[in-house]
Amino acid sequence: MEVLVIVLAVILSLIIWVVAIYNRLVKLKNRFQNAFSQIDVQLRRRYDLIPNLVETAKGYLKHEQDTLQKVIEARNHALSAMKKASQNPGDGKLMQALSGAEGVLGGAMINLNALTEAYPDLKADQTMQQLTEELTSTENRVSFARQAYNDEVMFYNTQRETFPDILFSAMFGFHLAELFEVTNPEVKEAVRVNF
Amino acid sequence: MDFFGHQEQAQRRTYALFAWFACAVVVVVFAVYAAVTIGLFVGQVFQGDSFQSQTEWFQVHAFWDKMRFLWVSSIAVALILAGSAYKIYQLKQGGGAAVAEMLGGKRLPSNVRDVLAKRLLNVVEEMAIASGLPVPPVYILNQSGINAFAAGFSPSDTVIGVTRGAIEMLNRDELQGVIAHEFSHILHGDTRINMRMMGLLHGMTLISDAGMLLLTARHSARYSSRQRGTAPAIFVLGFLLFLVGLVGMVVADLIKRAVSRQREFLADASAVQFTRNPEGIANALKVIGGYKEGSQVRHSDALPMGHFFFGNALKRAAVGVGATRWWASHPPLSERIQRIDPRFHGKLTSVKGEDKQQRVLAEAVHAGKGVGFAQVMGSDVQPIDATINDYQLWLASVGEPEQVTLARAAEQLQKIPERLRDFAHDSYTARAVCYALLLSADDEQRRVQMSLLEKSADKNVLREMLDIQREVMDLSTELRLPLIDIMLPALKAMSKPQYQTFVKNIRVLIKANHRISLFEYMLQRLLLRHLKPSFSSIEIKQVKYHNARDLSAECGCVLGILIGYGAHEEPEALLETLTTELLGTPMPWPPARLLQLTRLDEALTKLECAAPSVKKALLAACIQAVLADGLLHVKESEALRAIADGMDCPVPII
Repeated sequence: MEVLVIVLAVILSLIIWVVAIYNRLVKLKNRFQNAFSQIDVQLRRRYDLIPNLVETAKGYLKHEQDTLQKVIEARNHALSAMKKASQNPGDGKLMQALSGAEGVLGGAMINLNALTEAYPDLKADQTMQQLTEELTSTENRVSFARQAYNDEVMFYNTQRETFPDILFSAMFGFHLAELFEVTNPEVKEAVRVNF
Repeated sequence: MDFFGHQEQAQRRTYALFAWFACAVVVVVFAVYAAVTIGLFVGQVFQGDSFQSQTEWFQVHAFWDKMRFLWVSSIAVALILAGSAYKIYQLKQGGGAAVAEMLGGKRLPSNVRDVLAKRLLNVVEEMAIASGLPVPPVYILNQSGINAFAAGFSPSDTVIGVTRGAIEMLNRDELQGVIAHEFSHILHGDTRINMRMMGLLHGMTLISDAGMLLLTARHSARYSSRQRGTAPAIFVLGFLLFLVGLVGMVVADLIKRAVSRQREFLADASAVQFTRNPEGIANALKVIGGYKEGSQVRHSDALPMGHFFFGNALKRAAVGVGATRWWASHPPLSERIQRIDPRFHGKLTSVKGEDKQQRVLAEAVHAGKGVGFAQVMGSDVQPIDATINDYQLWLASVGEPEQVTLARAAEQLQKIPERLRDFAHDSYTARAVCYALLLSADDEQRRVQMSLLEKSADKNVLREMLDIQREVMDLSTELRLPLIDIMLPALKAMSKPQYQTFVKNIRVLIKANHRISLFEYMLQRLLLRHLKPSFSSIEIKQVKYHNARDLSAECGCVLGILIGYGAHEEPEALLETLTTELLGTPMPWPPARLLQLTRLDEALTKLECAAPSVKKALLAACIQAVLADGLLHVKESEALRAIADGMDCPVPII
């Protein structure tokens, strides 16, 4: 019967151990999900700025409606992707969709910037300059928030894949979380530099 | 009772908690023993002679068996302690944030733009600035009930949690009342006790979990033929353990009530004193009473955490004389309302959720840009004379903020330029503000600092720093402490690698600035001290020094530096007078090497572990030092507040 006691004790300590693993993963998951809310705020800020920018540019770029339209479309698309992603940050599909939409938006913004270069009046416009400046700053904020999020995701993913957590992570529904990286590599450089 | 009295009382209540816990363990151990004995006995009866065992204590001959008791009690105690130790460890890793996250809370970014969320953040900020506490991060629980909580071991790791129902259903005054109630818990040391209690009592509930496990493990045990005979015994044992676990839970609950229930009245009363608006909190309670969701929090972990909340989290708040009053974690609503508003006769009118929500939203939107900030200068706000010469009054205000301070906090926050406030609310730009605060006034040194920063810091953050430098330099001294305070939640949102880089840069800046002032030094110390618990495990300061004489060198250092900072005519004489009062013997002026800022750092670290009475005496001496020349210089008083903060004594703004 002593065996029974020992078995019981082992079972109980196993349970405490598993609960501890579970709790640790929950904590790390909460962390990266909280970190996403920072990105959320910054992206929203950016998506709010873009229509103003387009509105200002409209007056000068009468013959370039197509480019402007693309920017707005890309912005709307990115906004809806962001809203979906914030429901469940870290989800592979949603995050990839967001990355993709951000990439497209970045590309559209590059085209707009290139266009701006060709119109000195627009470039000299006070409002335009202010908005561009603010957009650049927001861009930096986004990348800082993204770095924080990616750091937390890395901690989570690493923990999730280390032994013994790996034995339980799938069972408890702790899936691999997706980093938030902008898919178009040019974007990072180009948008930041602006003029 | 003043702040220090409350701290001492909190210490005694912690001891009482441990004593209660020990008693509860004894009760539970005996209950487990009885359960095991009965379980084995039933097993014997069912199995007859086939229930053989080589272990003597498994054979039930009589109810009492010493060997069996030793076995059972050691296993039970080990289990309880292991459960408690694990929970305490877990809480120390995350502090108040861990509790908020366990309850499903989402951190509210400081730069959020939603009107209602912004209003909440402003209420919290004002309250924190007024009381001299670091601004706590705010978590939102996605619950339609109206509730709130504060959790944390120390002011640095404390967080405030508020349900969505509360921000949608309460107007600004009501919300302010609720938040003031939570701040009172923080100031009176209740949050720390609650954290400890949660950790300790976790072990108790483990027993019922173990019983549950045995009940469900019955089937798996049956297929193994060797164990076959024991199945009924295991079943009975499991069932009994489950019952015992219930006993444990009830005992745990009783302890919670004993320790925390009376505190709700105190917190309500303090909230009234703080906001000087009994209507606010009374109306909030009335809304809870009349609202169909009440203060309910639907979360599986709400049960062990019920004592953290503003209202009864577990079920719809019972109005009137509840039948199970001893069981509730909070006193009945009507009694709470009656104590605040004596005209209240126990009739609550029902509140329609949607109507009230629309009114609250309309009010918040209407308040427009100032959404958030309280209407400064109500009729009962007196302008304060900048030369408060009574140090006793000042000392008495520690941890007991009054409505005037609240109005003044709102005023100060509004004085911070809006752009700077925006910068402070964003973790990306808040770093830039911190760096700018530590830039030397000396051109040459600033150049050195800049070149060092260029190497280690992100170049974009340097750009932001240059961008905000002017505003930071122009900021008046009295606003610098509030500025640091409002930056804390945003900075706590950094990831660990980002935090490490940040700390490195701060150190670089301090090292390169040879002419750093006491106040600037204290600013960075305060900043790093409050940030640390968010990125590493929390150390709980134990009281080690009960007599100021054990800390005479440290007291001398603090007083000497503070007196030196104030440019008095006879610093030696002043120090002698103050130390005579504080230590009983006059202290000669310490040599310069003992008055360096690094010494102050060490001294304050030690003073954190002083008993509340020692802190009180030292703080009294510090206030006298600041007031000695009959004038109150902002620079000195702010340095004093920063020093007091270093000892976790929240000095309200004056």
